[in-house]
Amino acid sequence: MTFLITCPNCGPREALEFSYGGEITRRAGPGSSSAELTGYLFFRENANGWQTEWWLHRDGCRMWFLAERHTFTNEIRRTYPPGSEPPVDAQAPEGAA
Amino acid sequence: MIAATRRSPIARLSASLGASVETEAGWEIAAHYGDEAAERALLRDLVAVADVTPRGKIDLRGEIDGGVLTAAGEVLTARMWDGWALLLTEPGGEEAVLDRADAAAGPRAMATDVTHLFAGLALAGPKLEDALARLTSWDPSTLAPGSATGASIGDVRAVLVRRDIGIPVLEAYVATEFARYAWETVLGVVRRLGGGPAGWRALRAEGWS
Amino acid sequence: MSGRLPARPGEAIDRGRPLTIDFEGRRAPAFEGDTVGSALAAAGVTITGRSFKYHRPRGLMCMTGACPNCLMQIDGIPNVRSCTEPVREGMRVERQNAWPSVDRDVHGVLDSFSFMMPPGFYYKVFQRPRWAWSKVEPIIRKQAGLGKVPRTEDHEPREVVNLHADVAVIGGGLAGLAAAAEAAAAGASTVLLEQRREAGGRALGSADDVDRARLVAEAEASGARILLGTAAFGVFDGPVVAAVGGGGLQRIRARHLVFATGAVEQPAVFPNNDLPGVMLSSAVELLVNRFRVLPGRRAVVLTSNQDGYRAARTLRDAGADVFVVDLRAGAGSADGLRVIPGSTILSAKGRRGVTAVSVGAPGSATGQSIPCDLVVLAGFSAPSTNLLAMTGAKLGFDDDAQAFLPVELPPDVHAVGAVAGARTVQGAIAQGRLAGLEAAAAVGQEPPGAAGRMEVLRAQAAERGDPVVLPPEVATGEGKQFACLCMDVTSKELKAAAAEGFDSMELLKRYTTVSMGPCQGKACMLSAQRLCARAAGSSFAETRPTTARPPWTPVELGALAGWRRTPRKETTIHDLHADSGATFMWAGDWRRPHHFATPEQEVEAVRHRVGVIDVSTLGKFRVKGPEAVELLERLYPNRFGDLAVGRVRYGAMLNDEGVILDDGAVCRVGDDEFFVTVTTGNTAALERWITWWLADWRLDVRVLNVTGAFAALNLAGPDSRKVMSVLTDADVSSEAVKYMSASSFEVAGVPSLVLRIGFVGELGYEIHFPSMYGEHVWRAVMEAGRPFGIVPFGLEAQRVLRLEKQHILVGQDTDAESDPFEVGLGWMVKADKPDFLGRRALEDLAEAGPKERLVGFTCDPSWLPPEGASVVHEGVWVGRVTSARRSAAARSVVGLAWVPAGWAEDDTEIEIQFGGAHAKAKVALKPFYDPEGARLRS
Repeated sequence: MTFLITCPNCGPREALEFSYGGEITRRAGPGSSSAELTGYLFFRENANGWQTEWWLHRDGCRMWFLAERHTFTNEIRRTYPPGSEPPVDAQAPEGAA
Repeated sequence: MIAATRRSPIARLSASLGASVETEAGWEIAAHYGDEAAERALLRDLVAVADVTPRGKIDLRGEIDGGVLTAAGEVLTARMWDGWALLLTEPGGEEAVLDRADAAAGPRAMATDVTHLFAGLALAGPKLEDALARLTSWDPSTLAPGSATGASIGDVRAVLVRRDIGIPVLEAYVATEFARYAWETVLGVVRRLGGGPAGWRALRAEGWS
Repeated sequence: MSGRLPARPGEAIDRGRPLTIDFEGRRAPAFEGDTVGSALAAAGVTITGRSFKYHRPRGLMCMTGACPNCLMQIDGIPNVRSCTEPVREGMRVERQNAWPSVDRDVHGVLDSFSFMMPPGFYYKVFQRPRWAWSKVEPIIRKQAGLGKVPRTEDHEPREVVNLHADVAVIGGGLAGLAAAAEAAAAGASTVLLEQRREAGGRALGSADDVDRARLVAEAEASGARILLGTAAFGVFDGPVVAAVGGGGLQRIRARHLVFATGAVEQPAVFPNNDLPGVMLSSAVELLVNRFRVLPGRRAVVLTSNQDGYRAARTLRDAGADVFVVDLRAGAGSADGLRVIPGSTILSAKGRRGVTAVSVGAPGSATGQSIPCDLVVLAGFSAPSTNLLAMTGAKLGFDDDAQAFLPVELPPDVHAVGAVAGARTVQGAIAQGRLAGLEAAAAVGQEPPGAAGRMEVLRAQAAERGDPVVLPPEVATGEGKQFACLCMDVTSKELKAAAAEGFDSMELLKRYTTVSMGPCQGKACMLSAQRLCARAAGSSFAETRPTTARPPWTPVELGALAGWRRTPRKETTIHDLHADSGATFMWAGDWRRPHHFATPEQEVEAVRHRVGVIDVSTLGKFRVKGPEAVELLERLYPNRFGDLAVGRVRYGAMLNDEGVILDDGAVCRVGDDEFFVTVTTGNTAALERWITWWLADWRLDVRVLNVTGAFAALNLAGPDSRKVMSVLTDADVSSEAVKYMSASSFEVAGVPSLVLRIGFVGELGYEIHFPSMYGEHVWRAVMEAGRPFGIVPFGLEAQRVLRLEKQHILVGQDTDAESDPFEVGLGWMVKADKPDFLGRRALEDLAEAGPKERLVGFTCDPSWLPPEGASVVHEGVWVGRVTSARRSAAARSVVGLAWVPAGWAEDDTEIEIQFGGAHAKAKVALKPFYDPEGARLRS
């Protein structure tokens, strides 16, 4: 875990400064089937390749952001705050007011 | 009822090191540790650490525009990123700054008095980088004087502000609950490099405020 | 071999500063500048230790720290490389791995039983009869290992130092010095790591110091930070180079890495090649030129290039009788030396040291015997590519070098000098300079004229030197031929293992342990690869070295442990608790008072008078903004829109599985502002949870973790109102400050938020105020409470008090599967809200109904069941106890336990078991104390 992550605010920092937030998921809200709920809660793509995932700059600016990381090489090709292009609306609860 | 004084969590540790205490703006501060001249020498030639917890701190988060910052006044501003800034004042100065910031903030930003949320340590002296090398894997050369960032010091996260005054100075603000641990850890490293604690008098005499 | 040669300029020893060391109880003389190895050699000590498995005598071989022969116990520390360890006055030196002494080692008899101990013998021998292994294994285990672990405790923590640089050069030989000098002079911040205490690498042994001295001076003047005595042991992602030195661990992060790790001379493989007196030319040059010790009077030098002739001249000029055995047929006599061309060493003879060698054409069965006391193996080097390989660099076989050299490097990695295949001094230096300039240019530092210089250097750097001829394998001969000196693996054993099927390097390594010893392949990988290739019928070129992994050099566990920092949290009232004699405990990473007097006394005081506990550790959040209600209603199953300003509501956050994450109090302090408290231990996780959802929902609300900003005291007991009226001028009557209210007024002159909630089940006030007034307010509370007999109470008393009220502790009474319906919190789930975390899962859970329930129980006070005790029914496990304490108020043991849902009825009998003890208990659904909650609401 000594690779570097480029925080969108603070620049390149050691991975140890960050907390990992997991793959992005699509939330199964009200109206989902049991299968969809189970998939959302317990299954992940777990790709060997590029993965979009959440990171928190815990020891730095404390902002949550997204990263595209290659799960085999740990190369990170992009980091960006949520809400940037392309839109990442993976977790908005459906039907919320 | 005895008038309420505010005490840094590090106060008793300072006292055991021989700190001489003065009151300022309702705070107990460590004025010196018995030999102000020796402390100034440490600051100029080696490295020293001072407890600057009594400084006023205001947290600003949300949509912080130039207007809020201007309204806050002439205040040391640690702009962590667009959505978060920490304003730092002399002891007792936080109330006035909070009033102004609050008034200018509007519904999309929040100003909070966080004077009690952080303990503060000022690390100063030519051996500052040697001390930091033993406290963190963060690269201090990436922080220019006058700037601020967050990084871990002694394995606890800290808000760092670089303020050089002829000698390099780094102010580190850690969560209050870690104050004593952070002081012991930083002082230990400083001591192993030949330095020691410094009081407010010595620090101010060297040009810090 | 004893005594010193006459003084010469450039010698390492300072004859004006003699000292003595203690060698196995005898005093041995030495000079400042000696290593333990050189001092012992000067004193005539030829056996430096006994080998790992067969306990064969071994002597100095490399003098550079690459082989295991000289490992000794120094000042109690085992396995110190005496050949490079500087002497100190009075240091205690002992040889290892022998009994009763190295000179007369009883275990040497194992050498004769080696036929019973091939690699992996412990998998085969002593397996039948079955009882044999259990008798023999402890003996084998005791035999294994080198050195004795010191029994005294070592409390010296080691520093971890983080260094940052543009360029890090690993290896301070000529190529490394050149690279560091150029990079630093060009303006790149540069660090040079060199494991020995002096820079120069191979050049340290040469008779002529000119190149070395010049480059050292240039590197020192360039501004590069030179770390001597600092050995890199691993390269990690980043890249981060980890090294030991300077009293601890050095952690170097650089943008470019230049590997100048050099090459290690390899011993040739022939019968009895491990005898004391068989040395590498590096050892001979260092001993003669730097330490002024002549290692033998009659020497035979085996070589195939200039290195051997240089070593031969050095020995001859120092007074030894020398033969040169040149593998090449075309070599004639050089410089008056006696040369035997086209020949190799067929075997060595001797018992405690070499006494003769047999020399002949490769492949001959017999040869001419030459008496000697020193055999020098010169010029067969293996590039030290391990650290380089850790960067992901690819290696390929080079015919001229007869070795695997780097062929594909990552963009920010350079390899220079012997490790890259340079076999001449000028070639190595040119490569170093070129890499230094290239690395500096890559980080933006290109001084004028650099491009031109790089062109010139490129041509010089291509110079490789003479091709390498490796000594051939010796097929027959009496005596063991050692491929791996660390682990005592012979060529015959390697071949036998390959024949058994372990015919690739990775398998061979794991089965025979070759290259797994202290040298990690430095002195044996080349031989092992060649033997493996031969045995497997493939070529050397096809037999890749094994995967390189850290540590490349042995590292003390203490260095890896570092300073052992344990961040701890303390409240601002901590010192006063200590003054009051509190007994502290760890609650997560907080230090908290477990009790002050005794938990029983404290419970009694709270129930009958008044007590105060420091609950500053509670997690606290300020939540403010136009969508504050929206945020809370999404995070909690509760409704908060209808919570009036000045009121408090108990809520429990769920995750999308419907599982309880945490519980706490939500207070509305303004139209769009809330003050939320959460369980101490969950604060960090909940901050991440809340801010994560906020990052995605992007609601118009701000959240700030204000945990440390507020100290909090819970003042509780029937007399607590009386104490409060002393502390404040505000109206604290039950009408003014109602149960479940949040009021703002001054307490002890400090502006506070006062919540009337009752975790411990008594009339009580949770007072939140700015934390650095902590000592002031605590003292005021204790003073105000004195007439009422106030006592401070700790966590243990709090646990009893809350248990008597059946107030659950999330994480103690609930686990990673507990949903609100199972623990009696179904009332807070407002299913008519459009959405909240857990809503979908709760639909299914509500429909299915809970399978188990958390219930209270009472049982006979003669036995206190521990947490985790089983609830059983007819011998079958059906549940467990989560909390249990003796309760004075209930006059029995009370607790909480999980039981099957059908049993959740008052007075149902259950049986609790733990270890051999068991007891009958009764389910009790209502709190054991004040079940209607009258005291709370008074």
